[in-house]
Parts: sequence; C-alpha cells; structure tokens
Amino acid sequence: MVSIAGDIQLNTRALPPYSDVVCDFLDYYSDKLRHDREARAYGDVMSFAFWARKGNITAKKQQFEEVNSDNRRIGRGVVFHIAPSNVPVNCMFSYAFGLLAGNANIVKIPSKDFDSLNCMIRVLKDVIEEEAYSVIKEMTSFVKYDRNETGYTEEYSSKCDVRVIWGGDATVNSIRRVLLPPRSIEITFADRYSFGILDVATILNMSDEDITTLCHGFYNDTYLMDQNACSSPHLILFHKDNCDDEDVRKAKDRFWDSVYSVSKTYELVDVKSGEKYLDLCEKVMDFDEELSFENIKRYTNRLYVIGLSDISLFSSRIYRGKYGMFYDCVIDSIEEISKLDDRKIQTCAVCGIDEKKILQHVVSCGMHGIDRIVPFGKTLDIDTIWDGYDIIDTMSRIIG
Amino acid sequence: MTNLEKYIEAFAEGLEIDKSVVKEGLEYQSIPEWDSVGHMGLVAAIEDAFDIMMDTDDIIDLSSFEKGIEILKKYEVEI
Repeated sequence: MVSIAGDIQLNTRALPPYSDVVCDFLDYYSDKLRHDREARAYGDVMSFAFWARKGNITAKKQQFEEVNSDNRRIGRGVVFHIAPSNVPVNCMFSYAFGLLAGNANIVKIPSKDFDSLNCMIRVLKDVIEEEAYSVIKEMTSFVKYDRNETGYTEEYSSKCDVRVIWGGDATVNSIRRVLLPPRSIEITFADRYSFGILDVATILNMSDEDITTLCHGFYNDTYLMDQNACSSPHLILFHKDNCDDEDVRKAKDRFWDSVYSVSKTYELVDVKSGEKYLDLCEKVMDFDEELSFENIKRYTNRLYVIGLSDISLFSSRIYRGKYGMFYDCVIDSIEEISKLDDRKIQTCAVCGIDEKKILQHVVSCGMHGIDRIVPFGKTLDIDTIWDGYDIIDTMSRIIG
Repeated sequence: MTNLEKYIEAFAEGLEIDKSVVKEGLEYQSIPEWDSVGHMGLVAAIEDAFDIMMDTDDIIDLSSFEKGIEILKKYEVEI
C-alpha cells in the first residue's frame, strides 16, 4: 500500500455540508488546476476544475440552503471511496462530494497509472500543504494498493461511515463481501446502460450549424470514452410523432452523416476496428432473428449503425457497442419508452423532447430504470445527483 | 480598472492569450486557444472578474467577444 496524499485524522470533526473551508478549498484547487500548464492539456481535468469553480459551487450551496434552511445536516464522518478505473477523474469528484457533505475521505485510486490523475494529485498535494487548508489535509487520504491486498479494504471498511464503490458489477460484488460496521451505509455505482431520444421534426428543422453542435456533443458523450462510460448512449430512438416515413429516413441520415463527419477526429486504432467488427459479427450470428436487426449501415470503420425494427425486444445486455457502434429504432410516441423498463438504464439523453414529459412518464408508469434525463452532449457531466442518489444528502446525516 | 479592461483581462487570463488578440471579432473556435477546454477557463475567469455565477444557457451562448458583453448586461455588468 502506498500513501499518495493527505494526512487523515479519522476522529477529525465532521463539518456541515457546503462549509466555507471546503468551498474555499475547492475554488482555490480549481484555480490552481486551471493555471497549471500540464493540467490544461487534459480535458477531463479541466472539466473537474470547471465544476469545482466558485460560481458553480456557490450556486449549488444556495440550492442546498434553500431546502436545508434549518441547518440540520452534518457529515457522517469518514467516507471510503473505491475509485473507478474506467473514468479516472471520477475519484476526484467522489472526493469533492465527500468533502462537500462534510466528511473525511479515504480514496483508493486505481492501481493503474493515469497521467491526468497523477497531475491532479500533484496539484492537490501542494494545495493541502497550505496553512489555510490544514483542516482539509486532515480530512484527506489518497491511497493506492492492489485489489488483491484485501486487508486494506477490510481495514478501511471497518473504519468508515460510508463506503462508495465505483463499479462495475464484479468490483461491487467482490467488495460487498467485506463487512461494514452495522451503522455504516454504502453507495454503489454498478454497470449501467444509457440511451437517447431525438425528435425527427426537430432534427429536420435544425440549421447545419446546430446539427454539427448536436453531433459534437454526441461525440463527446460516446467516442471520447470509447463508449465505456455508464452514461454513454448506445441506442438512439427517433421520435416520429406526426412525421412520415420519408421524414424519418431523412432525419436518420442527417444525424448519422453528421456523427460520421465529426467522428473523423476519433483515434481509431486497428485493434478497435477489429474488435468492433468481431463484436458485430457475433451479434448478427447470435441474435439476428431473435432481436430483429433490420439493417446495418457502415460508415467506413468509424461508425456502424444497427437498425432495429422493434424495441419491445430491448436488451441492455445485447444492445451495446463500443468504438463507434450504435443501435437505432423508430418510436411513434414517448409512451413507447415503457418498453425499455430495465433497472440497468441510467441516462436518457434528449434533443427536441421535453425533459419533464419523460420524467412524468417514468414516474406515472412506475418504471424501474432511468435515473437521469439530460440534453445530448451532457451525459458525462457528473454532479452531486448521480445514478439515482442525492450524494450530499446520502453522505450526510440529518438531525431530527 | 474599467469593466472593459477587466473583461479583456479575463479573456487573456482564461484563454491564456495575449491581450492584443482580445478584441471585437474574436469568436469561439476562431483561435486554437478558444476551444471547448479553453471555453471553461474563460467562463471561470469572467465569473471571477465580475463576481457572478453564470447560468448554463449563458455559458453556452458565450460565443464571441461581443456576445459576452451582451450577456454580462443580464448580470448588471455594463462594459
């Protein structure tokens, strides 16, 4: 085990959520990252710095205070974070959520080295050395150890009030075997599945510039992480509404042609092309008749689009791709999303569809999936409400 | 420092460019420094300079030097 940063005092006092010292610290850390030459080269680090900036945290604090005006909340104590290896920067978000809720934090970072994460930790170490943030230093411990060294997981689990496990499923299942103290709680981020809905009439009426912006957003949602993030859409539904079949065909072509255009900046190495092609062949062999693959369109090796004739056979296990492989299907009305009633579904990206309409439909139909409804281009924007949890509320306790 | 000077300074600091480049006609993606990553630095610098919190829609709409001046009026900042 290697201690990477911080000097945690497990009995340090818990703080109320959004305490001044934590908000000041995040703003200062954000500023240092934004002015660090190396950090500026990493888009994911800059996204974190942008999120942690004063303007955003102050707005979040105000929202929090509107519903918690009687100051009854305080951090639970110690949070043990087991960070994800697919999206390295998320461990810094997890840490920031723990601090904002008022807790000390033990953060297990991925055993694999990531340049962007190393850079963030380098800057963090400097910031917590400053006298103004000695409290933060005592609330911080970044550690690194191999997943087989379960003794550390046992030790940290026995001392924490909240355990946060960033999946996938196998990691969650394996860490769950390690006991927590009876009063401690757990937040698990398991494997999820995401999809998007595009309104046909909206796509047809958009300017060329707006279509390109939409597809750039979709590119960031998907290609940027090789479609490996839980919130990257795999399936795109075209909402037909009052349009005719010809309109649908035109809207599909317009969207996918533009996605293909923006995907030209994607670094498609041979191994990805090969893996994607193999994946497609296996799916066609195993599932073609059963799952109504209507047609498959290939835009060179950069983009495959598998058309589905019927979404009532939806499967979150099968309808997924990577490195630029997507599924699409036409729906006549929003009500048809009930056919995707699957606990695995996390994010529903929308364009030209009223987010409230989807929300109402999820609630009125008592659906088990869909934890987020966001515009295209925003699916990777992690925040304190994530995966069905209000993380600040969950990581703090309320005094009745 | 006038508001215009502060505004130009925020562009220079946020995008890490020389002040001489900051003038009318400067648009998103018209220079390599003002890409999607640079944009985040710019928004943060403008917020810090005028002690404001910008709405998401305004962050997206901030597409040029001139547009920024128009947006800031909503936050009672006259440039």
